[in-house]
Amino acid sequence: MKYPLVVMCTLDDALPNMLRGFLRDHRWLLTELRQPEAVAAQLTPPRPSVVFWQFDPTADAPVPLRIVGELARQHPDAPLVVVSDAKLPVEDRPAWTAMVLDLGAKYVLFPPFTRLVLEDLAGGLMAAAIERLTGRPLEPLPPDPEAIDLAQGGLADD
Amino acid sequence: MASAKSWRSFFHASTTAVFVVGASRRLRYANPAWERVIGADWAKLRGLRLSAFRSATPLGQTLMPPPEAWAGEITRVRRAPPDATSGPPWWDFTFVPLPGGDGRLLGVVGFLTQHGERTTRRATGKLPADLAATQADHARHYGVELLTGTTAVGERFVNLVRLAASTVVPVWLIGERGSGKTTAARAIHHQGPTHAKAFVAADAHGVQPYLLDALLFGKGGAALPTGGIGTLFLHDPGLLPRDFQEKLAGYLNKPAAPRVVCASAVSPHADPRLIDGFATRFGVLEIRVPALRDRPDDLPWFGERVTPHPVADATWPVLAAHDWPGNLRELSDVLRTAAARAGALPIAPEHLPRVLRERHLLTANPLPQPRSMALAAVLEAVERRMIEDALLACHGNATAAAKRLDVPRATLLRRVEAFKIPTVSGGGTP
Repeated sequence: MKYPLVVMCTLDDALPNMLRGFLRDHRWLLTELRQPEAVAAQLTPPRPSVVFWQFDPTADAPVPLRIVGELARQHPDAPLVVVSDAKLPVEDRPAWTAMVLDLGAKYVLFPPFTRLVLEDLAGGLMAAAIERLTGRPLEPLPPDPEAIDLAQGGLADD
Repeated sequence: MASAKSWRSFFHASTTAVFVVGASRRLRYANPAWERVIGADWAKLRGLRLSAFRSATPLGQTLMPPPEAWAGEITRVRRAPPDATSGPPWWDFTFVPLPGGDGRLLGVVGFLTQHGERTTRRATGKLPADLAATQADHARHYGVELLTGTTAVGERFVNLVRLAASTVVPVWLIGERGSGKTTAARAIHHQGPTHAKAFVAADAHGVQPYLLDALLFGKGGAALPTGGIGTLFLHDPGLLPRDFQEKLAGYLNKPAAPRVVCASAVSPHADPRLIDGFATRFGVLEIRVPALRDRPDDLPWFGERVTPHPVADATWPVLAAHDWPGNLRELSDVLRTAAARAGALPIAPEHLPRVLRERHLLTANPLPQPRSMALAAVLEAVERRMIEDALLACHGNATAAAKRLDVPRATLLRRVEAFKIPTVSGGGTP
């Protein structure tokens, strides 16, 4: 199996910076792109992949969204997370969310972004992609020896 | 050596917003360009305490250099202005630490640039009109013809999909992984009465329940009444927590709820992970998606749709010999990888993975059946061989052969008759 790959097609390096450490811990490759047309080339040949694709819903529609549909059709095994660069009014979001999901995206994110959500999405989707390709679940990372396990400490006190 | 006054005048003339934070985490200097970006007077902010804690002012939290900068690293961060939780505009900071001669940090210089313009948007609840064409173009790729094939198995399956598309009853697709359940669900939606609204897939594989909850029911989530979901596709809902299943069932039981299509590898009635009533409520029409191994004659048909790359005739028997546990998904991966290897040439057997070629060789040239290991047969063969050798050595003389084998002559003659061993005429022969 080829190394798992996270492709981040973003408008700047803020999102990749939030995930860089997490991906390094898992030894997953990270490819940063600025051109949406270059994403498809990264997904050939098939390998466990997750794509984060950022766009500005107020400026770039509809051409980049056509690329979302093409990616979802041509690479259905590479889950696509669409990230909005603009914080839309709450009333506008359901229509955008439904439309992007209709084009085949797996998840839609609006600002503000938190590291926890990005890590959960990248980790969960990659684990599912690896299991789908290999038939085996992803082995969890070994526990951090420097982390303090409060639950374990409580048991020791008992 | 430049005096303090000269470096201040140097920064003052710059059009880049610059500010200096002292080791005490207080604002020590800012130039006029900084005032223009911040929109505040420097004189009033002199000595402002910068801190990540909420006890500091919002501006103080925004301007605070990150811990990496205090640790001596040049650091770039992007933050929203203090009056917004998000951009645009974004403030891009570059923090440069200022180490002193004794190793202590004297402070941090911050360079600030603004990215993007502040936009005031009014909520419309609608999408731009030109996006409808993008959606319609996408829907055209999911016709029922995509699933047809050329065999009776495929025809029966497509007839059931057509039946499902003609109604709005909940459908449960049952099939192995990679067999095309999501494509079938999309075909049902795009050919069905709910096609004018969106198809939303909620896949419990890889997306944590709290994220799915936020996606469907959160602030601005897709399941709000204005979301316009036509079909909600639940992939393996048994993976969802039972309380979330309850929440979904409650929402989907409402009159204005979208159509539901579920999919799983096993029948919902045999899935103990589902809450009571879930299978009965949403498994009204069960459709079994055939595995690829059940329709091997459809391989060329699907192959043409997976890749436009030409495939040599000799390749199809190699593909047909495989049992395709990953179904259409596996076929797609194999053909696309082979097409990349083949380049401008048609896909030939040598472009396929080795395991497929070896399996085809084994199928075409089956191994000989292993010899019987029954003990009686082995002993019989050994006995016959020893009698034959003894008779040969004794020139067919049964008396000599019996003596050589240490058995009575009558016993030897009975065994010779039983084994139908040909004998030679002569003295002492049987």
